[in-house]
Amino acid sequence: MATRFRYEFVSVVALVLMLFPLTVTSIRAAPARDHGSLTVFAAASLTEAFTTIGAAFDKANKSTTRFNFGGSDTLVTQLAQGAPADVFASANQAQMTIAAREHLIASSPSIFVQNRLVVILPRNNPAHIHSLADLGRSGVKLVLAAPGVPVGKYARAAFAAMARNRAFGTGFLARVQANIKSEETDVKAVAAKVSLGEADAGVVYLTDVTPSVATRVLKIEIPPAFNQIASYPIAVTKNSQDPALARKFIAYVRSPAGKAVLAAHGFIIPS
Amino acid sequence: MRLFRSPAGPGVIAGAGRVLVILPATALLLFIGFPLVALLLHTPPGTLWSSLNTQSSLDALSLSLQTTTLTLALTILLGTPTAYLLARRRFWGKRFLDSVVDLPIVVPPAVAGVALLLAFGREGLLGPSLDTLGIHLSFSTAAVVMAQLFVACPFYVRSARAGFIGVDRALEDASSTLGYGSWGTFRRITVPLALPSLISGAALTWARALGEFGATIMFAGNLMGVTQTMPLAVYLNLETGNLDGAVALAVVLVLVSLVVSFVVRLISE
Repeated sequence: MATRFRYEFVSVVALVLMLFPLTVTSIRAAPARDHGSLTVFAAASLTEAFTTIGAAFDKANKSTTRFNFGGSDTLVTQLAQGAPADVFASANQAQMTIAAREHLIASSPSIFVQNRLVVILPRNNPAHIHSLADLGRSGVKLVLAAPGVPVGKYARAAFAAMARNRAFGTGFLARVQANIKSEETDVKAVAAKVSLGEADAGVVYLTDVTPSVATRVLKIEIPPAFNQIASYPIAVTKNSQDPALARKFIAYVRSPAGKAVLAAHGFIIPS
Repeated sequence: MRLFRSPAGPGVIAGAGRVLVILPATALLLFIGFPLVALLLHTPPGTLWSSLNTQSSLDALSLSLQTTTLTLALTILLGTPTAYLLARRRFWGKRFLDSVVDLPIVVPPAVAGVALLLAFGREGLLGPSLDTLGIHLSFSTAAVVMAQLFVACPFYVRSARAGFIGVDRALEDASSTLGYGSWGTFRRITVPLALPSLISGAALTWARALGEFGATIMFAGNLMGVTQTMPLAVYLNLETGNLDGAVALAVVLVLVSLVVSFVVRLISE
């Protein structure tokens, strides 16, 4: 009898331990219920602006907003794997479309902000790059985000647009392609590689040239003819624990106060 | 009952003690085993195979194989003398050196990556000198090997050091008396006696190098066929929504690691 009891006890405890992760999740979601807590999945390029907006939103609503910043594609993968989120803000429509197709979002997404690309170089400009055409010169160490990351996709589209212009010479796209030395996991990693001086050039969003990055890099503007405008959609997620608060957050992002913060970080506010 | 038989005889762990042993053990084994089972069950073998049979997966496999082999060779070449020195010689600051050698085991890989960048990166301490010599490490396969060597070699050095310490000095002395020189003694007595430790250390180093991610992506970047090893490919596949591709490579990594740790167990017993 005693032995049998022991074994039953073992299985019960084992079961409890296997369910432990679930318990942790529910405990985590529990506090601050009365004021509301919010988890926002947002593109890495929104890091600074959303952190500021989140603090102001929490102050006004006595809520607790947590952020998970990452490459938009990573975030969609995490959502698809059941990661708890209330709001999803993507750096391109493609990832939001995937999220919608996989039934991961509840509301119809709306574009709240736009961004554009810029080329950055280390301050000492080791490869002596003075124009966009120089990026196709042999030996330039170019770092882009991986093609699956929105900014990586936009950067490649921008180079393709340049290649269609005669001024960039023949085979520009292939030459640029050969110069890619690393495909980083998100836009912040690209900015870091250039800031550290490891890469000769990188393509990031204008908003990623934050004050701290700006002290370490030079910028080369990409003319509108080649530049890609990234449109950022935002939506409430399907399994949001607090859809009302999630909608409130989105409304705040779109309010004059939210727009002011985004504009201050270099985003384009769509009219 | 057989389960609890210990070298000291049956019934050493009994009664309440038995519960105290079996409960945490079951919990821990389930905790480790369950995610691995989930990984193995996620993708059907057919999909797994077709996901592995892509250019990016094959590139990652072959790059991982090449870089870890090189890392292992360098570790044995440089680590064996280091371990011997730390095991046999007494000198000022030895205790400190022991800790330095162990450091990469406890330092987070991301920290290792930053440290490597600040040392060997283009703007790092040695950067300008390397540049003068025409050596460019950033985004090269050499950088991958350096990252692996940095985080993985301590496992071999630790194990080899312990192995050398365990060799009976009397046997070495006898060998010298019989006319073998120090190299002969080392080769014929010391190494064979320490061999289980050397092999298990080498296997651990290889497995750690195979799994290296943080320092690699930071120091070497990520480019297919040049610096994108298997763990990086797993991460990138996951990021780009290619879950099957990620799982396929992950399964290979898990199975290989399982085999390695099993072989190590066989050798060290």
